[in-house]
Amino acid sequence: MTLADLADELGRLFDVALEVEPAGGVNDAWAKVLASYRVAPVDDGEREAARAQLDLARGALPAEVAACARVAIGRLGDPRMTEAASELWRGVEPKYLALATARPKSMFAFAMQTAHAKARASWARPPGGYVLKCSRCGGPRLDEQLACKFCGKDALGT
Amino acid sequence: MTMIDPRLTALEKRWAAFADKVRGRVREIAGEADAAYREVIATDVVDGTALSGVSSAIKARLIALRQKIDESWRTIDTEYDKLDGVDARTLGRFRAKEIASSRRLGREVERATEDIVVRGEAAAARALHALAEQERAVPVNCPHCGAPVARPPESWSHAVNVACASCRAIVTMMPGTAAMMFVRGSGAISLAREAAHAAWHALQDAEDAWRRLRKKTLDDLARFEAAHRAYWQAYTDAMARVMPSWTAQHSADEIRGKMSWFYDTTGKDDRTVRENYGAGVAAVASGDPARVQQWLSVQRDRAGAAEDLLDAVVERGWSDHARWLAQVAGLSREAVDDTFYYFETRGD
Repeated sequence: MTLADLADELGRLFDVALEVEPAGGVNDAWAKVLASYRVAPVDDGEREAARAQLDLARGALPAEVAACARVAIGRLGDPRMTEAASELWRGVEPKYLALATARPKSMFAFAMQTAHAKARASWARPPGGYVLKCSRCGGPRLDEQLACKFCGKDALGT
Repeated sequence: MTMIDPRLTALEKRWAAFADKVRGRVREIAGEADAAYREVIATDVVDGTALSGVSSAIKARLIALRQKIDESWRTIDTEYDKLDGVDARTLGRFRAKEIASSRRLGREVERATEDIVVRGEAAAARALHALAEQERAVPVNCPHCGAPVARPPESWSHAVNVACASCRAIVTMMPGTAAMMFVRGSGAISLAREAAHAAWHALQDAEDAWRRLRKKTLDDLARFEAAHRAYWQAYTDAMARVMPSWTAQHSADEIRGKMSWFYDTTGKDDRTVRENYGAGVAAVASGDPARVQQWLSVQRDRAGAAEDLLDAVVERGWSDHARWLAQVAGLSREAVDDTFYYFETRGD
């Protein structure tokens, strides 16, 4: 078996693993894969804990996928090849987790982002009031006329 | 009992299965939309940007769904064209039934979209109104002397000048943002739209009925007008309930303004023709052959008018009257059958 063969095998493994629903469970196809690699399914208590912790959207538990991958890598036999394969797996494992936890972007993503940004929150203000004052003497406006009643300036202004 | 060609029933089932999938998707979107509205309302209900973002996303998604209905219908429709050996009229009737079903599904999705948006925006409006009510209780002090200034009720939603009882300065009182957004933004409008929603659907139905009719009468026009008026009356009644400054004059102005296009266009079009058809339809409805003959006798083209009147009667679903009219007006049985077939297969 070459590294290219191994990469193909891991690809097939991912395909089956990512089809598992509900997330973190074991469907028939995945049970067959586990059996073929002689990997025991994670026990129920650990499975529930991992599901809660990882927030998977789909797919088998990463621990089960990793166990299968390690078996596949072990079959290479050659220690140098095994080390290279392990390196390959270290790069691939996070990608599985990313795929298993990815959720389609909500149609409301933009609206939610806008709501949470509260970009216009600074605009909000309580009821209030203002008084026009004379720019010359500071006297307040006293009636509907805009002329200052204190200094006689013809138009109040702030 | 006539056996329906199994290929037709297969196409019917295919369409029904698709329609069920569409309805399921609409329910999913409604669930997601309700949750999104709740989140936006809980986060920031004063800024309407996010709210309109949710509504726009729903509309876009459901418009896409309606397009999918049209596309899927076209795909199935081409299958009807490929069917050999089916009686043409049987095929025509079956296909028309399915066209009508696809149109109803489109309208169903359109209404579901409106239901979701109206419900969500009204919920936001109620939350906004609650904030605005809190603002009503906020005291305002004179910016010149600091003394409390009595707030007139209208200052809740409008800028109002008030003389300070202490220093006589004219205080221009400004409402809070929530009240302004409720009154000047979309808050009150959303509640009015919700209150008038049933009348809106009735107006849509009236518009469909109006458009379907080939031979319109002034009575049909009056029904269409009444549906318009009922909607705007329900809308303005609701505005009066939620807007403190809304008066009976506002309602009258709003209804006149909103209906002006109707009176300037549809209300003026073809009145003479509609009056004439109205008289013909009334003559048929009376069951008096002499009245029908009298109506026919004053038409420029008696034969053509008889066929038009038959159209008017058949499209109103008056099957027995149609056969009676054919006898009175001397129309052939074939002409009657063709008219029935035409209206059966229009697909609406």
